[in-house]
Amino acid sequence: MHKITGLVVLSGIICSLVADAKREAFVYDPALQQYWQHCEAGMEYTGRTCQGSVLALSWQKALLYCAALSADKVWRLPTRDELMHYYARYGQKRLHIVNLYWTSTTDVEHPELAWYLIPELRWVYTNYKELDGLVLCVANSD
Amino acid sequence: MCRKLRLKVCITLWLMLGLSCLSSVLVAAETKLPCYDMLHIIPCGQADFPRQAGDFAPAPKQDRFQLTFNDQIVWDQHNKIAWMRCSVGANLQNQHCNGATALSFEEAQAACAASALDAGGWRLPSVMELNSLLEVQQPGLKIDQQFFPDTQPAAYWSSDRSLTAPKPLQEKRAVAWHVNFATGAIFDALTQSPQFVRCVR
Repeated sequence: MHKITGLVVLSGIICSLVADAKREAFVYDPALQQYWQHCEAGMEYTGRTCQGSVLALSWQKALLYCAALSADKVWRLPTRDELMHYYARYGQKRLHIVNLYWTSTTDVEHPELAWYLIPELRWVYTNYKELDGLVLCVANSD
Repeated sequence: MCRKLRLKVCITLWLMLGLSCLSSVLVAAETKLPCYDMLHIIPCGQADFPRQAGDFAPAPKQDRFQLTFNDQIVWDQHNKIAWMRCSVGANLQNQHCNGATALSFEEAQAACAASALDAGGWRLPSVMELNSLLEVQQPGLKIDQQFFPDTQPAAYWSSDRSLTAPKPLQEKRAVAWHVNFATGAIFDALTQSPQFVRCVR
């Protein structure tokens, strides 16, 4: 009897942990050792999908948006290489909106421009920082 | 603080030995990315432009490349792959690669496969392999020119075909990705268009 009660309690705990993990707003990538937001700025992760209205922000606002996320991790806009690796690993499953995603890397020869990725087209290039783009934030695991 | 100490040691050594030590400090200092506002370089850590690439610049990859096979092949420790030092069509003479030729995608695939350099086994690199050679923080040509001399300021074919091109082109497998070492950009192009080629194995 005690065994059955114990199993029920244990399964309840496991189920609630899984459910909590599914509702987490971020996903851990063990290969890159980084946390990535499930959903782009403006959207909320329901456990299965991202819902809400996606926000398009200028480069500066994108930096500020990531830096203002929860204090338990150092959230930031990914660099060009980080976003490229994330896209190469997960493709359009994780970066699924057909639009420009900002990176935190400025074009050294044209500082008014920053690097972006358009996942659908797999274009990587630079554009004016005033332009509105999508934002997906990253945090290192340490 | 560490850099200041290094600088002091270097200045002392410089007085004793010459300029080479100081130049190594200057090179080391350049490896960190700067931080920017909308138009200019600014000190990193500014509240209005927080946590950008300059704040999280990765450590420079020390000793990533090694020359092998009479300096004609570059061993990439990071990716565990070997690169042809010269673009396809070019020959290495006095550490320069002369005569690079632009080829269609199919010609590029065939040229890599047909190369007999060090017993062959060459192929076109994937777009991520090619992207890993890019040094976008570098002004001018965005590749290590010591290891890849005379890289063309132009696009190089990757082996990845586009899956997002218009359907008729997809069906003909007529579009593939390329990486441009003049700009750092990655775009797609018609496979019949001529681009430069660097093979890998």
